[in-house]
Amino acid sequence: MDYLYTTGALIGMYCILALSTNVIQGYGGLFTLSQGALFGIGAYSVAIATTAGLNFWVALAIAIVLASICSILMALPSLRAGGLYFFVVSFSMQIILSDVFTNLNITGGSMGIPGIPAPTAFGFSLQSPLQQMIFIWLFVLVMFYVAHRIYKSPFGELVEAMRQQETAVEALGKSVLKVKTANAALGGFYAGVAGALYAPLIGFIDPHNFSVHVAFYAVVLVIVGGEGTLMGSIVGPIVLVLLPQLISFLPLGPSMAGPLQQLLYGLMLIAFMLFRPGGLVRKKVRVVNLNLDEYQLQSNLNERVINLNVDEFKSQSKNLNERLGGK
Amino acid sequence: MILFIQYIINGIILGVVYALMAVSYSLIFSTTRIFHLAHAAVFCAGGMSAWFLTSRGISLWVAMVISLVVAALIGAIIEIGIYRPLRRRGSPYLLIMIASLGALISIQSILALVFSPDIRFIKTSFDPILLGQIVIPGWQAYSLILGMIGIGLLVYILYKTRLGDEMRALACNEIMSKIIGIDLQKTYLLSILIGSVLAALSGFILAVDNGANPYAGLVQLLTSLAITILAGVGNIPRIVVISLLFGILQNVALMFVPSEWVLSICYAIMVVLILVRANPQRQALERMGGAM
Repeated sequence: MDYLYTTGALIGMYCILALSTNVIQGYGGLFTLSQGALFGIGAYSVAIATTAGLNFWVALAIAIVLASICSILMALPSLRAGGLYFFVVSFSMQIILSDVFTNLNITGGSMGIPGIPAPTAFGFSLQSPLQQMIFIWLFVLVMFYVAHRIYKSPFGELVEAMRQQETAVEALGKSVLKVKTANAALGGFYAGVAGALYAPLIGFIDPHNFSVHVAFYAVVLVIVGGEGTLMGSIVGPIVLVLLPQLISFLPLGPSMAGPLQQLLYGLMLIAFMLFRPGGLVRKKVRVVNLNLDEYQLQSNLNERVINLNVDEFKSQSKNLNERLGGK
Repeated sequence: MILFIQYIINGIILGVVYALMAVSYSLIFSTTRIFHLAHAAVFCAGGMSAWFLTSRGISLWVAMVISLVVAALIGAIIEIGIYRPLRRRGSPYLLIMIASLGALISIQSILALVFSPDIRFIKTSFDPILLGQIVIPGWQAYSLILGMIGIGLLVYILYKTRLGDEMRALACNEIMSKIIGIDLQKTYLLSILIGSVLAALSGFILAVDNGANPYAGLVQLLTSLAITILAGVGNIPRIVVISLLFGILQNVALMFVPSEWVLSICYAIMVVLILVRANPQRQALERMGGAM
């Protein structure tokens, strides 16, 4: 039973990670490969702060602030280098931060940080898997509600507009820089929360947990779930955490299970691109409902105005001709 | 001073690996306009199959030829199985890139499943060449020659044959080349084949130098990608020069910074250079399918 609860908690954690990737990739339109690093910043700040004796909630705040700042710094290059360029830049950032995790003393180097205490909430420590699962899913609810509100608001419309056509947003007098920074900060916020929940859940972290493979995994979560939809960020993790569990029922050694799982992800990516590019939960294409009658009226009016103008022009030119004494 | 020259010589082998990878990537990218991430898988397939064949007692050079053929086959499978249907459907480039990412992950995990994910070393014995006090390890001399042959052949194909003319026409303008009767699908396939052979050659050189493992390749691919972006797609002389410089930089940096930070610093330099060079107007051209 505990196994089930831990899996449930993991799914919840990955939902928030997927949401973070979705904010940057699905909504913001930046194909990023540095989610592993952001996730790692959240996890490491909580691990370091709580093992030093700080309260979980203080550590969470630190994680969120640090991850948001890093996310903004990572997204800023996209103002200059979009598309493929940004992909390379974000990959470089991921490599650099992975090196930082491995080489700094404060992160415990490649040995990692063991013994991260469980979070305390409402006066008692969340030790059992069931408690942790409930705790994490409460977070998921709050996070998704916040995201839902944000993307329904005018700011959300602005982000969508920016994804489709940056120049148009600029032409409307809105600052692309501000929208991009805010959206990146939001993505970093979610990544920080996901990392902060991950560290106490597992209790031990090392740089391998935040490598470029995790960044790939985050991208797979979003692509399979569906880019730009909140439901997709829940469906994707559920499918991708449960499906590989089937592999663990096969009589295979642990050295086989890892690559087999990776193979499954790879094949799923190809299959989704070939057969269902929108992901499991597809984004609804919004149809603008034109009121045809009104439109017709308007165009009739316009026609009449034009006709009027033509008449006026004719009479005026006639006057002009007379005045010039022509014809 | 001796140490400095030694580092430069060590840098050259790395530079050759990057140059082969970058040149082959540039060939594929300029003709097909696909962000071919699975190229990294082709790279490590070259190294792994060379290791497998030599460990079964086949001589190194025969193993090299066979591994090049294997890599070309993998490239062809990716093109025909994945890219062609996606292209026919008119998928945007991001979708094709994600499919390519899927192909990369799949091939690497198949290699890991079949050969186990450990690093494998190819046993060779090349006599080092001594120039005074400077030692040139034998394999580095060979790798330089192999790299020059590879790039020389590519330049010959690109500038002296009809196929090369077609590839350059395709790189220049896709619609126009279709109008004048170039078989686009065939040219895509052939450029991926040639690119895969060169990538496998670079994988083979690196595998003999410091071992092969199924998850190698991605770092090399992205490094050479950054090199390609810096040099400009299709500009072979500049790609080769920047690759060699980058390989040397990565080695010479060992003299000044602790070895664990070298890669980070190289990537940081790369990011700055890309940001300096990236140009929004050029990207607008790229979106329209023009030059990059």
